[in-house]
Amino acid sequence: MNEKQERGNARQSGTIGKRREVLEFSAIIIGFMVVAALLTYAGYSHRRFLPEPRVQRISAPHDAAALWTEQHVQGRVLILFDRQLNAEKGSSRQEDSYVFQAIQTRIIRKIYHVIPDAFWKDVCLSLGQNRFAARSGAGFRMAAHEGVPVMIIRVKDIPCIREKALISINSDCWSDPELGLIVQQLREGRLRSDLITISGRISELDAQGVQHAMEAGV
Amino acid sequence: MQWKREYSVYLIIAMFLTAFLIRSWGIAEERWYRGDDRIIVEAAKNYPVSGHFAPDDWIHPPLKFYLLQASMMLFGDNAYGWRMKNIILGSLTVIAVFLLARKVFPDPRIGLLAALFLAIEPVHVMFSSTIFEEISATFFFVLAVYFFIRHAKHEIASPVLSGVFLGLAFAQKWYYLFAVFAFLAFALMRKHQEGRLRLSAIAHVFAIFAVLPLCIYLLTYYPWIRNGYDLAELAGMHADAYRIQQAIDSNEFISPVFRASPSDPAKWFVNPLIYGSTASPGGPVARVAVLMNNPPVWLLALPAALLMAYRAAKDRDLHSFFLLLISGALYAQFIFIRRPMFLYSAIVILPFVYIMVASLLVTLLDACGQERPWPYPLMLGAVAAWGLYLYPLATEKAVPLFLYRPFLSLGKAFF
Repeated sequence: MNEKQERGNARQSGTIGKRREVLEFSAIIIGFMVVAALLTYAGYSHRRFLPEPRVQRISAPHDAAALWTEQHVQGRVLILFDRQLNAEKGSSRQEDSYVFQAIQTRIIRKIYHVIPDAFWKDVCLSLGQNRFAARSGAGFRMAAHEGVPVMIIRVKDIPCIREKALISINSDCWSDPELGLIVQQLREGRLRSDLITISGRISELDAQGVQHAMEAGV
Repeated sequence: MQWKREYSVYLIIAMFLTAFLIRSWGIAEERWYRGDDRIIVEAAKNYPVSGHFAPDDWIHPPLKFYLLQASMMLFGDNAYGWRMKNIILGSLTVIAVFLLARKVFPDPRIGLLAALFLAIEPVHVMFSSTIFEEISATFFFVLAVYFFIRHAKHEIASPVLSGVFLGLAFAQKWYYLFAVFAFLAFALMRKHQEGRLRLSAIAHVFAIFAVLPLCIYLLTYYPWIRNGYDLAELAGMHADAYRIQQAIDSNEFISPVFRASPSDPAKWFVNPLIYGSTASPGGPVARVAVLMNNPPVWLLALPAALLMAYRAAKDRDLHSFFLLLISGALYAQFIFIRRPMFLYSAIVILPFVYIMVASLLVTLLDACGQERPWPYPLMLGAVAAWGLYLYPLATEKAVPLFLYRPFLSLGKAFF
C-alpha cells in the first residue's frame, strides 16, 4: 500500500496515518526540547554572582544573611561550615533562622552542610533515626523548606562543586587542622566561591590565607 | 435501548445544573476543612511570583495553584473564588462520566445511572466545595480516558487530546503515574491488534502519553526553576518529595478528622467507613462533620468489577477492559503505597467504579425482566432519595439526629 492510499484509508476508518503520526511525534519532541531549553535558561539566568571574589569577616554567622542581601546574590549554592543548619522556620532568633530567611528570599537554592568531625557521630545518630533523611554517599540528604536540598557531609566528603558557591564558615566549630583542610580545598579549586564569610576566632592572617586560597582556586 | 440525541443534550444540561446546585449550596459557610483553604489560597498567590509553595507543602505538583488563580480572577478572592473551580469542574465530571459510560456501553441507562451516582456521591459533593485538587484532577483524567476511548473506537484520528488531559491531571496529582503506563500499554496493544505496530506508531504513542504529559508537568514548575534550579535538581527534588511522601504518617495532617479517620485503602470498597463527630452538639438537631464512603454503593464495586472483567473477557470488549485496567492501576497504587491514604483519595477512582456499578445494576434489572418499564425509574428514584438523605452529612448541614443515628452507627461516628 503506498502512502497516499494509506492516508485515504486512515481518513475513512478514523485511524491515524503514518504521516500524521510522524508530524505529531515531531511537534511533541520539538515542544519538549523547547520546554527543557526554556526551563534550563530560566534557572541559569536567575543565578546572581559577585563580579569579584570576596572574603568578609563577620562578627556572627547570621550576619552573612545581611551581606548576601546587600550583594544581591540569588539562586545560589551555600556551603555552610557550621554545627547547626540555622534554618528553623518560625524562630524569632535570627541566628537560628537566617538560612531559612535566605531560602525565603530566594538567595539559596541548595545547601551543603559540612559538619565538624567532632560532631559527626551525634549527627549520624540523629539523622539515622530521622525518617525524612536518606543516606547519600558518605553523608545524608534531606530537603528543607520549598524543596531546597540539604546534603549533610564531612569536610573530606565534599564533592567537587563546579559552580561558585556562597561559603559560610563558623570557625569556632572547627579545629585548626580542619580549617587547614578547608583552605586546601579552596586552593585546589575543589571548592569555588565568590563570597566567603568567616565568623569566630579566625585571625586576620588566616582570613588573608583564605582569600589567597580562594583566588588561587578561582 | 436507544435514545434520541436531543434527550442526551437535555440530560447533560439537567445533570450539570443538578450537580452544580448540589455542590454550590452554602459554599460561603464556614466548614471544618477551612484550614486548608487558607493555606492553599495563600500558596496560590505566592507560587507564580516567588516559585515558593509556602505555606502549602512543596511535595505536590503545582498546577492546582494556577487553576485556583484562574478561579479567583473570575469570581474574586473570596469563598466563591476559592471553591468555584471545584464546583464547576466537579459538576462537569458528572457529564464526563455520562459521556464516557456511553462510549463504553451502548445502553444509555448505564451512563445516566453512573452520572447520578457521582452527582450525589457524598465524598465528591463534600470535596467539590473545597479547594482540594482531587476534584479537578479527576475531571481532567476522566476526559483523558474519554478521548482515548473515542480514539480507540476510531471516532477521532489522534489521541493528542487524551495526552493533554492526562498531563493536566498528572500535573496536579502523582496518582496518575501508574495510569500513564496503562495508557501506553493499551495504546501499543491496539496498534498491534490493528497490525500497525511500526516504529513511527510506537514513537507516536510514547510521545502522546509520556512526553506530552511530561511537557505540561514540567512547565508548571517554571516559577520554582526560576529560583536558580536546573532540570537535574528538579529530578532530585522529586526524589526527595517521593521519599517524604513515603515517610509521612497520619500525625502530619492538619485536620483532626483526617488524622483520626480510616486510612487503609484496602477497606474502601469492603467496609462501611463512616467517621466524624457532631459539629454543633447539644440537641436533637445538629450539624455532623463526617468523612464517609457511600456504603451500599461502594460495597458493590468489587462484584461489579468482577462482572465487568468476566464480560470483557467473554465478549472480548477491549474498552471495558481498559476501564478495568485504569481503575486497577489507580487502586493498586493506593493499596501498595506506604503513606496513609485517606478516603477522599478514592475520588479519583469513583467515576470508573460508578460506571461498573451502574453496569452491574442495569444487568441485574434486565435479568429480572426487560418488559416492565418501571424498575429503572424506580432505581433512579431510590438512588436520588438515598443521595438526598446523605446530602446534609456531606455538606455539614443540620440534621435531626434520630434519623441519622442508625446510619452513623455503622461506622465510628461519635456524638
